[in-house]
Amino acid sequence: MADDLDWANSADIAKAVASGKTTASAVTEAALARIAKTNPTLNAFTAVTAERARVHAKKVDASDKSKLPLAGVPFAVKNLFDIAGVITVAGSKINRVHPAAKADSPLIARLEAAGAVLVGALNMGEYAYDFTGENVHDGPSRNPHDTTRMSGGSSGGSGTAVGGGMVPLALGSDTNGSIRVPSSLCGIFGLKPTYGRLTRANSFPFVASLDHLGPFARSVRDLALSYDAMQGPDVQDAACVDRGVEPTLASLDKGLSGLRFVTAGGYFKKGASPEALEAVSMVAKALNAAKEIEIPEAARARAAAYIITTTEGAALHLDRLRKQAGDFDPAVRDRLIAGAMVPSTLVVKAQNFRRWYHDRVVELFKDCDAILAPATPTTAPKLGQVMFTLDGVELPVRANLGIFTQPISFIGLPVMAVPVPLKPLPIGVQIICAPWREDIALRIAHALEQMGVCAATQPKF
Amino acid sequence: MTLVRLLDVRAIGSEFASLRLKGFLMAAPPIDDFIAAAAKALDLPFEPAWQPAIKANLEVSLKLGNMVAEFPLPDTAEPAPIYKA
Repeated sequence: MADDLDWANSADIAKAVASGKTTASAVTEAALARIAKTNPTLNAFTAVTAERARVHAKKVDASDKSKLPLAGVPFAVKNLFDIAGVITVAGSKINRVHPAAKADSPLIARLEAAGAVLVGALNMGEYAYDFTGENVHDGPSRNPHDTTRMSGGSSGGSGTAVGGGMVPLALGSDTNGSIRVPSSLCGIFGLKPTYGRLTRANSFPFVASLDHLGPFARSVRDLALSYDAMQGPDVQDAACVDRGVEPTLASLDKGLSGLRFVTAGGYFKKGASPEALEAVSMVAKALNAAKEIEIPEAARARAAAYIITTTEGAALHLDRLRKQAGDFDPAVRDRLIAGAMVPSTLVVKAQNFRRWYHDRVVELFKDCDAILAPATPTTAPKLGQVMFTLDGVELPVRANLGIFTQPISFIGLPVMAVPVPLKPLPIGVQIICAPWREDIALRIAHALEQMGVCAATQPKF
Repeated sequence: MTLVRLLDVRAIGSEFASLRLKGFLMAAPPIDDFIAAAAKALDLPFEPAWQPAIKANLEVSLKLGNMVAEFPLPDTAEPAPIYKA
């Protein structure tokens, strides 16, 4: 059974469990066995919740599975999500002395209510201030397509676990690109919903102005299934909007008719490697997206996102920096200390600019339904690689893997990262839509998947 | 010396402190001095060995922050987060 389920999608698992072809318990045991077998190589999991998973799987097996769209689907979450009884470490050493979480994140609860089975917590960059997937305390989550390479971060374990076939579904967070970067480097699908769409309650924050949560999967249908199950308001998160569930699953098969596509030029081409440009070109060709536009002031948007991130992050961790600076990952600590010293006038300017930029970019959607852009400037760098060259300039990897994602999450637009299976390494393309139009992003991604342009390919490791 | 203490000294007329403060406000001081002063003002102790990385990060932040600040916006431009009671 384990072999049959190694690369099975959530939709197929749920269908098999609902039909009685297998059980949630059998699927759970297979997932736990896969994790035990592959985690020593991939280092995606920091905690495995085996007993909890077995108990919940039995509960699912005893339920009316026809009413559970994710019946028996194993999933895991970035270790900044609260899991009742588990310490929310958020990739840090410092949080390890915290008491265990008393309650689950509502997103975990909503997925489990749909029949999914939580199997563990996933590695991540410390306090989510990361694009590499490396972690000095837990070791790096490794890229399943080449275990000497980065998974991308900060939701590195989420990318590795899904891309490496450990689980078909994972959750992560995206403040500046932390869903889209690992999706790109690990060759899987990722959805960063509109800012405020999914509740962030009971998750460890990073930058309140920019934090989003969202799912990773190997198929678009799986993303839609999980996303639909997680939607809905939550008064526990001040940023979560009071919108009802807007299901996306039913519209996946609508196709591309009536949709207009453009490609982002200028800033989004300047630092892109030939692979990143090739991937965008392949997607643009499939969508017949001949027109190129310029997203105005994208470089400045990235700069403003950088300022808000470093200062809000510093404010969040100020007390820990005062008392426990030596316990941070040095690369995180030094950026946070510097962030604490940035004059507040620059932060206010960044927030003023953010509104201006939002209004200009949203105007672009009068003439198109989706904007295409690279997700990362390159395929996965080597683990430990500090610098890379973009557009002839040598730059730090850690801060620059997200140059194409930051100007988008900065204004909270919904984005799909879709994998283009180039050889030897995959790379992602962003499908960027107007606020609250996750349905369109998913529909386009599904069409690309149907055409065979985008796919999560099974790695050998 | 914290920033508050520095201001106190200026208030009582210390010429030295006043000059230091003027320098701090009116001319770009060496960033090392800024980091030292900010660390004291914020009560952020750090090892001397961390200074080069903090300096490098702060230089990038100031460069990017100024890139944002130089963008012309009207006085009426509202920041993105608006509090609603």
